[in-house]
Amino acid sequence: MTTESTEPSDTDLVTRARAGDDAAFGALVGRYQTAALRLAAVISGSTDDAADIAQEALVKAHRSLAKLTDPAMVRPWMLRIVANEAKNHLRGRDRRHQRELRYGSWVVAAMPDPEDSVLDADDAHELALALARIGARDRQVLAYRYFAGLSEVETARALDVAAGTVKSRTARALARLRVEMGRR
Amino acid sequence: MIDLERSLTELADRVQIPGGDWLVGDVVRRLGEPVKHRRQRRAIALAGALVAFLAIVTFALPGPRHAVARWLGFDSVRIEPGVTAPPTAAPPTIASTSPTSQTTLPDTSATTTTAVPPALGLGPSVSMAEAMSRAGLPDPTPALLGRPESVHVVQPPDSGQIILVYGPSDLVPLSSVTGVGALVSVFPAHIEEGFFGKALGNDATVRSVDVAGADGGYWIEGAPHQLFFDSGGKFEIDTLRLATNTLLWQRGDHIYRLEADISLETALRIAASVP
Repeated sequence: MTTESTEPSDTDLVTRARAGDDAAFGALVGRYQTAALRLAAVISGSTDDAADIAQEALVKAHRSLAKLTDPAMVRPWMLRIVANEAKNHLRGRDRRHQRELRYGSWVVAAMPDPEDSVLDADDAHELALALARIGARDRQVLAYRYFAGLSEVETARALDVAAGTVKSRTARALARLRVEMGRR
Repeated sequence: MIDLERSLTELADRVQIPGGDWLVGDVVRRLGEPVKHRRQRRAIALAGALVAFLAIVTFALPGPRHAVARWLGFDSVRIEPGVTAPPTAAPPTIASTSPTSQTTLPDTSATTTTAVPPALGLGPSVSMAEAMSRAGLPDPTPALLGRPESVHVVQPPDSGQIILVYGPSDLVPLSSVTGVGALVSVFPAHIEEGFFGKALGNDATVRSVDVAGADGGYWIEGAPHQLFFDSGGKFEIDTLRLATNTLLWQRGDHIYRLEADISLETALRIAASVP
């Protein structure tokens, strides 16, 4: 999944990591850490816990490398483990008001040039709260697509569904999110 | 109407996620560690919940115990930058709080070639044997640093902690914060894992690290900070001096602390040399 030919491919890194090269696995983590952190944050709702969740998940991913069937798809595979870890992190304490507290406390940086932004501070806060209010399944597909930046095919792999299902599920999730945004 | 897809992408770009800068290093460092089962980790955390540590960046608030109490609870802990306190802030009058906290016996085993800066408030030096006997603690001497300049037993906690003072050397340069090369201490307590995970300041960083032979560790780097800990249900200021870079690690029922103006790598080497 690399874009520059001078860099090792994901497949190369997986092969080396499986052979015991920790640096190769570190390179994979470095490649997808932003996506992993955002995914952990948006699924758990806790930006404070996202780094811990991602760390735990990626250590587990390393232990499970032998189970990865398609090394070229290591990105959705790793991110699926992160998403599962984030869901497990919430176990037993995901009541709605708690969710809204978590998402409502997100700190959102200002854009360097406000003219490039479609979100002012209030919009960003409302959007985060709307994410808290939609269902976990809707939140998950939006997390993969817009926070982790996965393609439909990769999202399908991560969710273990058909690509067409991702398209329809995304559309439904966006519609529900829009409804929640409209309730402010 | 708001462009939801673009808004989500922008929100993803702008949301602030603390601690992410260390993710690669934190993951790679853990790759060789044995698998810890969830139940085991939870047991450690529960034990640790009895005693919490708080690192505070340049903290100089009135009523610090009250402030610390307010910060307790995983969802409410905040490390807030405060007024910068002078690095030579007056030490607590430890000896006056408990006559038994320090001894006036002469030091018979530790060398005393360098005077301990009075601002550290460590009181007179004692022998290592005396310190171990009084505090009921193991010898924390790192083999890499060797024999300390002086050994002290101070409170808190009530039972005492052992502090070793090292003068500056090639390994541990003079710290402008503490006025010595390194301080090594040991005391009976547990690190509360989740608590430190939340401890992020503007100019100091707290990260979990693996320390050889230890059950867990934390590295506090950057701006001077102070340490607080729970001693028998009440929060105590460990010292009023501000700390330089600090490595804390848990071994059994004891926490070891190394304070020195050194890199994490050097700190880990020194920590690994504690028998």
